[in-house]
Formats: sequence, C-alpha cells, structure tokens
Amino acid sequence: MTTQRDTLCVTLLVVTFAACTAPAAAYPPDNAAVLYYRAFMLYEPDQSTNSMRDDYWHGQIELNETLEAYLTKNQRVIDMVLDATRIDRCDWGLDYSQGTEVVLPPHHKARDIFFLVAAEATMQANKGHHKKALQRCVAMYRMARHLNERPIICYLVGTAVTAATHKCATRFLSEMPLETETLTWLQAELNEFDKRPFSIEPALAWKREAAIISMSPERIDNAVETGLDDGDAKTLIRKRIRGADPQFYTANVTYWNNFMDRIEAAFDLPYARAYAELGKLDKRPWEEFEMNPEATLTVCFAPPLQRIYSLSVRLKAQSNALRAAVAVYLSRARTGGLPEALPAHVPTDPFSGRPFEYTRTEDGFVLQCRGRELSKDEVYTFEFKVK
Amino acid sequence: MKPVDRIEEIIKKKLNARADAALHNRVLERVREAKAQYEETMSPCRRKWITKNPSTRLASAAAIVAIAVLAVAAALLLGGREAPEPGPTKARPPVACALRLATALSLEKAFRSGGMQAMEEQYRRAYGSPRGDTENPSVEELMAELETETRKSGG
Repeated sequence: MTTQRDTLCVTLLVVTFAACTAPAAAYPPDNAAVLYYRAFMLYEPDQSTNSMRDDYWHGQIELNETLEAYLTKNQRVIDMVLDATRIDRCDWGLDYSQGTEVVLPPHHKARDIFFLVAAEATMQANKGHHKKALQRCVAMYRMARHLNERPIICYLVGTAVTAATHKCATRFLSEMPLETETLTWLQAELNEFDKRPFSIEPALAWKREAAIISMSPERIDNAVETGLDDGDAKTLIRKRIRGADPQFYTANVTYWNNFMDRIEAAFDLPYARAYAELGKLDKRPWEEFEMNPEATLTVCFAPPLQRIYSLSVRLKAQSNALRAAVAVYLSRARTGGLPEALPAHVPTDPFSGRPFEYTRTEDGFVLQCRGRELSKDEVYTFEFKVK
Repeated sequence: MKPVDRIEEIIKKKLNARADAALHNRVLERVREAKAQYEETMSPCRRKWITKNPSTRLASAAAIVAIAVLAVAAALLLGGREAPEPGPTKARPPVACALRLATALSLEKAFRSGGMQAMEEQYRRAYGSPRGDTENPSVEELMAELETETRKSGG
C-alpha cells in the first residue's frame, strides 16, 4: 500500500514538474515577430483620435479623457509590443529565395504602433514616471532594430521609428528632473545598442544577393515589371531580355557585383566624399546601359543610394547627438551644473567627423553639427532643455 | 429522378445564388465531375447495396446535396457575388496585384518616386485596412442566407 502511494506521489511530482517546464506553454515566444504580427492585427487605429494622439505625444496638448480611454483600450497591444521588444530573436519569416520579389511584412503598422506607444510613454512622463517613459523609448529603439530585416525597405521603416523615438526621448529628457540613477541606466542601455548597431550594412549585403537571385530567366520578367516605370528604358530592357542568352545574365551579374562593391566602399568614405560618389553611382547604370548591355539589369535593381545614404547619416547625427546629450545631462545631475565643454569620448557629428559644437543656452544647451547636410543644404542643430 | 440529377433544379429553385451564367455552369460542371468521380470510384456491389437500402440512399443523397451546397458557397466566395443593392462598387486590387505591391522591389520603387510617404501609401494599398474584408460575407452568413431562402421556398 505504502509502495503504491509512493509511486503515485512520485508520478504526480514528475507530471507537475514536466508541466511546469514544458516549452509549449511558454510566453513570451522566443521569436519577437510573433508578438509584433499579433499586435499589428489587433491594433485598431482610431481615425477620430489620431490627430489628438499625435498632438499629445508631440507635447502640444494635455492628457484628456478621450486619450486615456484610447490608451486603456489598447493597453494589451502596448504590453504585447513591450514584451516583443524584450526578446532577442526576431525572425519575420520572409522567403528570401524569392530574391527582390520577397513579400515584406506589414511594417507600416509599426509606425502606428510607435504612435500608440509614444502616447503611452508621454502619459507616463506626465504622471511623473520618467524612467518608465524612457523605458518605452528604449523599447522603441529595440523595435526599430527588430524591424530592420534585410530588405532596404525594412531598414527605412526602422529609420523612421528610430528618428521619431529620438524626438520623444529628447522631450522627456528636457522635461524631467535629472536623476543620476535613471540617466546612468539610460546611458548603459544606449551603449548596449553598440553591440547591435542599427545599420544599413545588412540591407546592402542582402540587396546584392537578392538582385542576383532575380537576375535569372525565370524571375527577371517580374522584376522588370515591378521595378521600372513604363517608358523607353523599360521597352529596351524587355527587348534585351527577350533575346538574352546565359552569357547576358553572367555579364550582368558581374557588372552588378562590381557596382555593389563600389557602393559598399562609398558608404565607408567620409560624408562629403561618400555623398558625391553615391550621387555618381546613382546615375552611372542609367548613363551606361544604352551602350553597354551588361548594365541592363543593374538599372532594374539599383536602389536610390544617395537618398538612403542621406537618411542614414541624418539618423546617425540624431543618435550621436542624443548620446552626447545624455552625457551632458549626467554631468549636470552629478555636479549640479552644465559642463563647460562636452564630456570626453562622446559620439561625434557624422557630417564633419568632429565633435558637436556645444553651446549652453538660457534654458539648456545646444549641439550643432559642424558639417553641412548636402541634400538639404542645412546645418543641423539639436536643442536640449534642462528642467 | 435521382437527387444527383436534380442538382441543376436545386441550384435554380432552392438557392438564392443569383449567379451569372458562367458561374452557374461552372458550379454545375463541378457537381457533374464530382458525380462522375463518385461513380468511378464506387464498386458495383457497393452501389447496389446503397441503392437498395433506404437509409443509405437517403444518406448518400444528403451527402451529395451537401457537396452541391458547399460547391455553390465556395463558388460564391471565390467567384464573386452580385451586390444586394445597386450602388457604386469599390475597385479592389486582386490578391496577386496586392502581393506584388508588397514586394521589396515594388516598395523600393515607391520610395524612389515619392519617399517615405509614397512607400507608406503603397504599403496601405497592399495590405488594406484592418477590417477590409468585412464586405465579403462569412461562411456562416452565407449558409444562414441559403437556409432562409430554402425555408421560404418550402424546401
């Protein structure tokens, strides 16, 4: 009898232990994309509150009952997204074997989700929960990294989310009482991102591979139809494809590889030289392809390089300015006054490669780039206030 | 007349399908194919057993009618359905077209021509609104409609 009872107890223990450790019941999942997809489906942007929501997270209006109800209604979605951002792995499940014809996930929904989280973060800041508000910002930086799958479009959506998050973080820092503990935490979080920097490089590497997959007799028709506007160039390219032999494809792949080598090299140059070189490279296949059939397919796949590069450097300038600002805020929190000069080892202005010009103002400080942004012919200034 | 031979009549009389001639013929063709396949795969002795036994005869007739109803429902869902009331119809891109709008190369083209805004607009065209499919009836709604029409005509 005793033996039977012992056996039963052991069996129950084993079953209980197995149930507790069973991976099937695990939440959150080990792939952040599962939660993002779910959040994208569940979130219902409310057209009537959209402009109010945007005014709110831009700090232009106060919290009201409508906004509070909207945030309460979507709390589950916010929590789901915040859970997703804590997961390292994010696989959107894209079929890369399709080359440039890969169907992308609904990343545009990520911007709606960002607006929702930004509004919730603003509410946290207004209630005095400054660290929570900044935690939302860090979460959005993580989401932007998750969005940055290999296609260039994914990089661009991630760029938009990161840039908007910078705006949020700048405002929160400007309005919060400076606490050493919170700022040290924020600095550590931002430094952590250096281990997995938000970069264009994976997108460029994938672009090279994807175009090569699409440069095949089976796929090229679709690519031409999708990638080019109707016109003389498209007509000529179609004609060449109709008469193409295997050598045509081999020669075009070689041209494309050389082209991408030059692009990747240009992205590593100092800003002004890179900008000029990418401008030339943007035009080159179009100038050459009429006389040189080897440039034909590169015309279909070449991305708008100079524009993408400008966006990436502008984002880098914002990111670096924010990190430099956090160092200044931290100095202020520790010493009680703004430093005379920028702290050592803070990130630099990517347009000039030199430190930002630091100026103290009546209500805070300003970080100004020393180099000019060439596409807009503008010198960027980042303003930070101190409460 | 056996039930399977009355399918055309059932479609016309019992179901308020309002299908055009092409859709009607397509459905009928599917049912005939199903019938032919059924007869091919059914062994003669088994067929004899079914036709002799009243309960199995009723069950097989019911199964065939169910197949016909499902075929009509599927055809309506996949093949299009007339609007219940006249009015402006929304042009919707076919699925293949929408998928093409969501490819990496296509979205890149949109970005090249109109920047982030054009890219986002194309994304929205490709994926539509979150409740974009509510204009199509669900299978439950469709079946309820069919049942109502069947009751009205005394079926």
